[in-house]
Amino acid sequence: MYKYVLKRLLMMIPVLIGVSFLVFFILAVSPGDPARMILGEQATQESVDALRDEMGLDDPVLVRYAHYMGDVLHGDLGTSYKTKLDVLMQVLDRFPNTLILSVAGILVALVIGVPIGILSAKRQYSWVDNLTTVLGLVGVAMPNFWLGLLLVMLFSLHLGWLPSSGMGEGLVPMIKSLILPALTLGTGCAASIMRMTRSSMLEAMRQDYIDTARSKGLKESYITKYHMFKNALIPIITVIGLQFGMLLGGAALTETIFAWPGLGRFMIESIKSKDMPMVLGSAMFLAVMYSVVNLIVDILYAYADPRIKAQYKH
Amino acid sequence: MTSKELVQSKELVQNSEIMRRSLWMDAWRRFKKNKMAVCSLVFLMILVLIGLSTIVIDIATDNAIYDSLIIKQDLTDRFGEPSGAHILGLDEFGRDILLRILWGTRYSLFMSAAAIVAAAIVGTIIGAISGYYSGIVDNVIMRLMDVVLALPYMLLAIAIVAALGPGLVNVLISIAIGYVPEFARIIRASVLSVREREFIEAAKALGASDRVIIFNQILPNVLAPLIVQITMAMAGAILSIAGLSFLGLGIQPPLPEWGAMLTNARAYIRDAWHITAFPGLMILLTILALNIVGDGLRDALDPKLKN
Repeated sequence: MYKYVLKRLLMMIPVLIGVSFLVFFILAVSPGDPARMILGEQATQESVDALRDEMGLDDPVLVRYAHYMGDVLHGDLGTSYKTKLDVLMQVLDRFPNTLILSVAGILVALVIGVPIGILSAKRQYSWVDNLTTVLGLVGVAMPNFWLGLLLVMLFSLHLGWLPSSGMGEGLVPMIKSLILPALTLGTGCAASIMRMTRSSMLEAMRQDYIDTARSKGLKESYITKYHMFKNALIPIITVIGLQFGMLLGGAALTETIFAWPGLGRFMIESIKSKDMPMVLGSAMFLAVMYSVVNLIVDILYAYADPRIKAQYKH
Repeated sequence: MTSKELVQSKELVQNSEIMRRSLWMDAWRRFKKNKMAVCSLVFLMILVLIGLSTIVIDIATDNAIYDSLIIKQDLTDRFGEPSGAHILGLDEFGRDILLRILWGTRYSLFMSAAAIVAAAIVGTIIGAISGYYSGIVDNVIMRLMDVVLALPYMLLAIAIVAALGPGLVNVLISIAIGYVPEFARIIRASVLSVREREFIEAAKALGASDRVIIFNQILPNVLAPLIVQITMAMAGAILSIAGLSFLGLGIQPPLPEWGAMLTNARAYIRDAWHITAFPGLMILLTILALNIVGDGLRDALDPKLKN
C-alpha cells in the first residue's frame, strides 16, 4: 500500500508543475504593468523601469516562473501590492474557512445524496424513484448562487432562524452561520452524488453474485450494504472527489453571497482591487489543494477496490 | 456484369443510402418518444426565437427600444411588484424585469453556444490529431489537456477573466478554454475506436490523405457523442457565465445578462423578492431544458448507453 501511495505522490509532481505554470502563465503574463501599479500613476518612467528591472519583469516567462517557484518553495508567495501584507499568511488565514465550508458542503451532499440514491435504486420506477429523478435534475441545474439568495430570503428574512451572512464567533453561532452556505454549496453536489449512487447501485444489483448472495439466504439489508453498496462505491468516490474539488474552486460564489471569510471571496476581492500577488497566491493555493484532493481520492480508490491496489504491486 | 448483378448492386447502393439516412431518422424517432425532451427542445426553440427577434428589433429600431426600456433607469418607480402592466415587476432601477430577461437571452444562450462551439471546434481538432497519430504527439497533447483539467473549472475561468479583464469576448474565451480538454478527450477516445475499423484501412489503401481520412471518414462517425457533449457543456457554460457576471467579473450591468441582473439582488433582497426570483428561475429552466435534451439525445443517438 505504501508503495502505491509513494507512486501516486511521484506522479503528482509533474501535474503540480504543469498546474502552477498554467496559473502563473495566465496571471503573471496579463496586461498591465505591476511596477506601475505599485508606484502609482505619478511615478516617473525611470523609477518604474528601475522597479521592473528589480522585480525581473523583463525576464522571459520561464525564468520568472522559476524565480517565483523558488520563492514558493521557501514559503514566500510575495507581498500584496495594496496592503503590503505577506500573501502566504493572508492565504493561510482564510483557507481554513474555505475548507470548513467545503467539508460541510460535501457532508450535506453525502447525507442527502447517498441514502436517497440507494433508496431510489432499490425501488426503481416507483414514485420515490420518479420524484428523486426530477429533484436530481433540478438540483443539478440549480445555479447555486441563486439557491443561496432564496435560502437567505426564506430562513433569514422570513423565518429569522439563521444569520444571512458572516461567520459567527464561538461554536454554536459558527455552526448556525455555516448551515445556509453549506446547504447552498452542497445541493448541486447532492444531486450529482445521488444520480451516480443510483446508477452504480443499479449496475451492481444486476450482477450474478447478488443472486448467489440471495440464494445463500443472506439478509437483504446485508446484501445491500456489503454486496451492492461496496461494489457501487468506486464511481461514487470519483464523483465525491470531483465535487469536493469543485467546491474548493467554486466556493467563491457561495462565500460572496454569505460574506463568508474564505479564500474564494478573498481572491475575488483581490481581483477587483487588481492585487495580482494576492490573486496569484490564492489561485495557486487552491489549484494545489485541488490536486491534493484528487490524490487523496485516488488513494481512497485503492481502499475501496483491492483490484486497483493490485495493479500497483509490481 | 450481367443485368441481374447490376440490379443487385443498384439495390445495394439504394439500401446503403437508406441505412445512412436512417441513423438520424431512427434517432429522431427515438427522441420523439421522450416527451420531457421534446418539451424541453420546444422551450429552447422558443428561447432561440426570442433571442433572435430581440436582435432583429434592436437592428430595426436602431436600439431605440433597447435604450429606453432595457437600459434607461426610471427611479420614480423602483421595485414595482408584479402586476398586469409589468408581469414580472420592476427592478431596482425601475426597469421591466420580463423585458430584461427576454433581451438577456442573447447573452446566456447565444454566448454560451458560441463559447462551446469554439471549444468543440478546437477540442475536436486537437482530439482528432491526438487520437489519429498517437505516439509522442498524443502523449504531449493529452498531458497538456490533463493539466488544464487538473484545475477546477471555475477557478480557471476566474483566473483568465482576472488576467484579461471583464467583458463579452474575455468571458467567452475564459469559458471556452476550460471546455477544450473535455471535447479533445471524447473525440480522441472515439477516434481511437474508429481508427481500427476496416473502412479506414480501405481508405488508406485507396491512397486517401490523413486530412481526408480524419475529416471525411472518422469525424462523421464521432458526431453523435460530440452533439451530446455540446448540449451538456452549454448548460455548464450558461451557469459559468451567470456565475462570473454575478461576481462582477463577467458581463457588466446595465447589460441584461441573467446573472448580472442578480448582482444587486443581494442588496435589495429585503425590498423585492421578484428581483431575485425571476432571472434565477430563467437560468434554472434553461439549464434544465438543455440537460434534459442532452440526456434525450444521448439515449436516442446511442441506445446502447441507456441503462
